[in-house]
Amino acid sequence: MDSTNSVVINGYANAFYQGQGLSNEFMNKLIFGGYIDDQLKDQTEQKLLNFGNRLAFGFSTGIKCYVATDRLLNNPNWNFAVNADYIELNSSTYSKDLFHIIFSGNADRIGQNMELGPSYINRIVFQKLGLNLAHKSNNCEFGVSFVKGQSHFALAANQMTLHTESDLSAISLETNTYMQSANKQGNKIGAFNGAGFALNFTYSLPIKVKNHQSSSLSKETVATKEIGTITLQMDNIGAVAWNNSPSTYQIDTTYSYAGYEVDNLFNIDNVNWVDENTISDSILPQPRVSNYWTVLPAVFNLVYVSKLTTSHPLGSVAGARYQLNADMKPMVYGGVNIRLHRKLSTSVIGIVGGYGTITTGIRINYSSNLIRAFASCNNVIGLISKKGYGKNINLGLQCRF
Amino acid sequence: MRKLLCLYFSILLLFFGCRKESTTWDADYALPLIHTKLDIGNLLGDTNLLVHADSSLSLSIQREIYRMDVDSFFETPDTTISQIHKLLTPATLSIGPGFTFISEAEESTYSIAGAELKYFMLKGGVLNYELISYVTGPTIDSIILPCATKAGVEFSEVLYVPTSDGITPAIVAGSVDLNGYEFDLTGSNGLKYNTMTSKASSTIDPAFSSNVTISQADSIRINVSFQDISPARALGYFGNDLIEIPLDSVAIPYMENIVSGSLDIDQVQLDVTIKNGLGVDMQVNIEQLNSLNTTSIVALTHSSIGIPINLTRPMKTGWTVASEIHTESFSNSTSNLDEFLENLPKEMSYSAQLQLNPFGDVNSHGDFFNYEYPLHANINLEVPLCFAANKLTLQDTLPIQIDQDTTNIQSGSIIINAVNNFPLSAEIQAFVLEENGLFTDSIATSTTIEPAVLNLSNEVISSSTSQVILTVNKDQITRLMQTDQLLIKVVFNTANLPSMIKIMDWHDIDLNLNVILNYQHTIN
Repeated sequence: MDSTNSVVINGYANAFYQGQGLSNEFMNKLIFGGYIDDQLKDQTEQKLLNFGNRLAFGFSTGIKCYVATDRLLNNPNWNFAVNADYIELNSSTYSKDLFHIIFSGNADRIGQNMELGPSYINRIVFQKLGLNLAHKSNNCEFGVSFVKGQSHFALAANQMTLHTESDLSAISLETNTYMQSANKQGNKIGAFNGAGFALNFTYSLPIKVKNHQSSSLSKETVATKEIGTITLQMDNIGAVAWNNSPSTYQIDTTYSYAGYEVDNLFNIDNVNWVDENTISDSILPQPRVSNYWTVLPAVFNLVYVSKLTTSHPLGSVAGARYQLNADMKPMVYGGVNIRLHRKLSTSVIGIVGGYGTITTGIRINYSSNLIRAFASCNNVIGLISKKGYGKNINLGLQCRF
Repeated sequence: MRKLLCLYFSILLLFFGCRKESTTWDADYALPLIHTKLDIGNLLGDTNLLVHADSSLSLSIQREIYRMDVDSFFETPDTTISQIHKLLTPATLSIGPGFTFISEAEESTYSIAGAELKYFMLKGGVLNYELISYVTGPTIDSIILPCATKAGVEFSEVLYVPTSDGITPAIVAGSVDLNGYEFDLTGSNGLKYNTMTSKASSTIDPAFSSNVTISQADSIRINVSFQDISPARALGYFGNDLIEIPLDSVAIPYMENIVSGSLDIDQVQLDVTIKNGLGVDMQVNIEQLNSLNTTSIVALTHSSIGIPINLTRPMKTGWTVASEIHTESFSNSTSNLDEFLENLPKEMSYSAQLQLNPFGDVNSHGDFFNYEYPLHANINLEVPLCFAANKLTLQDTLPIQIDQDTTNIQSGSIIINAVNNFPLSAEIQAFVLEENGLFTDSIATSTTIEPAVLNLSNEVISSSTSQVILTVNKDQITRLMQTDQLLIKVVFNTANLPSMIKIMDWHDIDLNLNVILNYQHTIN
């Protein structure tokens, strides 16, 4: 925030889905509709690892309003900001066999074990309302937010083995699964199933180098020049207490289903041979209702961006990112930063990790006195090609008044 | 600024607002559905099987085909006996309280369906009475039956009759349960039959405050009727009625499910047993015994059919009767019983005649009856389960209920894994009950479960394993899930035809019914 502006409003939105092994052709049909045929299922399954496949989709958006004041803490260097955010993250780690039983079934695995675990599913939806303090000269910012928990579901199937007997006489499921669910008030945005807090911290460190200038033969002046900025950003460090009668299930059992046992086929009453309730009741034990805490999917981001000038229109960008409780791998990226115009720059990066393997990203920045905006994509190929894996788009807008 | 915001939301809409149709995919799920083990007891009922020392089995069917309704012998007339009691003198009398002005004994003889009874005891029945009084004062009246006693106490009913105005009668009505009453029907002199003795008396209520003027016009009428008389015991002469047992039929269990094919049965035995506890001389004539199926009738031929059979009267000690048992046996050698049964009868029809006391009252009114010792006829059919079946086709309905939404099921297979220890093969077809009430849609073509492996003596030495796959399409699955009845049609063939095979008590078939469903997942 420049000292010349009294109010600055930042808005952002991020939406993505990505899964290593799950092509856009598959995901497009899964998300946007269409028939997933056997060929597509087979092609997709061939790309999957036996274990540890990742899939996530999420959406987040928010707004932050900075207000310049000279009276905060009696120090003209401090500004304050209020923020409101909506964050939804669905992530999972799954085995190839879990994919197979969902999309192809178990009919071709008769007489075999299907290792459905270890598999994990996490879903969290929450909103934040926070207050931030920003130090103008040190480029740092600290905030604390109240978190309203909308919905939470977590399944941790450390072991889940499905065995179909070779003569189909029984199906057995051996599992050690832990499940939590906090959705008593429903899953809509108004649902208040938990409460918590979140901290965020941002610190930007300008990188300067000495610039030797010779004004005469006998005298040399030394000046510093800013060549870039390293920014450390931590967001959503906190937790939510799910306290609206959430359910917890602990399933550590071997369940075997052998069909309906008929004593005498010629003398049976009218019975329901396939009763889903009976089956689910026997697999799923009674839940334990007690409050629990979950750690928020905190984001850690460290990024270096070189400063672009007319004389140096080409720079670099590099960084690393990790998110807790999100079934993702640490992500590192690096690339070039190009000044296209006085108000326009772009960067192209390569990304390793996250929910994908290797992807390409692009970002376009616009900057004027009153408006700054950016649009970026961490998966360019995925955005335009069916052969890509996932889609990602980030939008940001800053308005200065 | 506005343009930028529009762009911002347009991109978001582009990203998330593109869902146009449902997401669908097919997956094939294999599930066990039913497991069952069937032995011959499941099919024929354990109580109908005899296990022999060598573990072979016989089907034993015992049924009562006739029981004599003895109550009909002793039907009392459906009339009301009416007696009028009045003063014997024509004079008008002024009678004080406590004075008995009528006391009369009478005998009534009943006609009891040709029988001449000396005694009977009732296990049910009601005596209805109605007393109509024109006496202009309250009376206490008694109806006494000296011939009827219960535990040694004679029947006596005391009635309190209110005052009549001499024009409108006072009426008292009621009924008495006659259960347990014994009746001596020999009259007051002990020599008569069907005769009951009774007494009636009428006394001015001693509590009445004044005299009552009575003339011959002040009569008392007593109407008595019997209802629902059910004798427990009787003694006398029961007449010589000819009792017709009209053509009737009895269903043969399990046979109704056989719709076609042929059965070659080895030795069979049919016993018709008449057990007589009725103390009369009797002749029985079994007029006909027929094997009926939907297309043909085979009449049983035997030396006893159509010929009167004399039944000896049983002896009794006190009222304990030693029933006489008469058995007529039918076998392959003495009759056409194998042909009779190989007709695969769904019913057996019969008619007969019973002649009571064909030689008259030769026992001097010594006929007796105790309801605990009736006359009844039973059949006992014993068929060793040693036979040859050629395309013997059984069909039966099977109630099912599968309350599932089948919208997403595209097709499927029902897989029957059978381990068969029976020396019979079975071809299975299943039909779904249609809305019109007909079983028209076969959900499966004929497929065969192989018979067990036999040795040269046609004995089972090991089981056979068969897998039958019934493929059903979406339409058939929908109907299968929605119907509440399946028609199962099974065609049996014994192994090594035309040789006969024996069914043993350890023969069984283990069935696993499994399904593979092609399920279409849909995400809207």
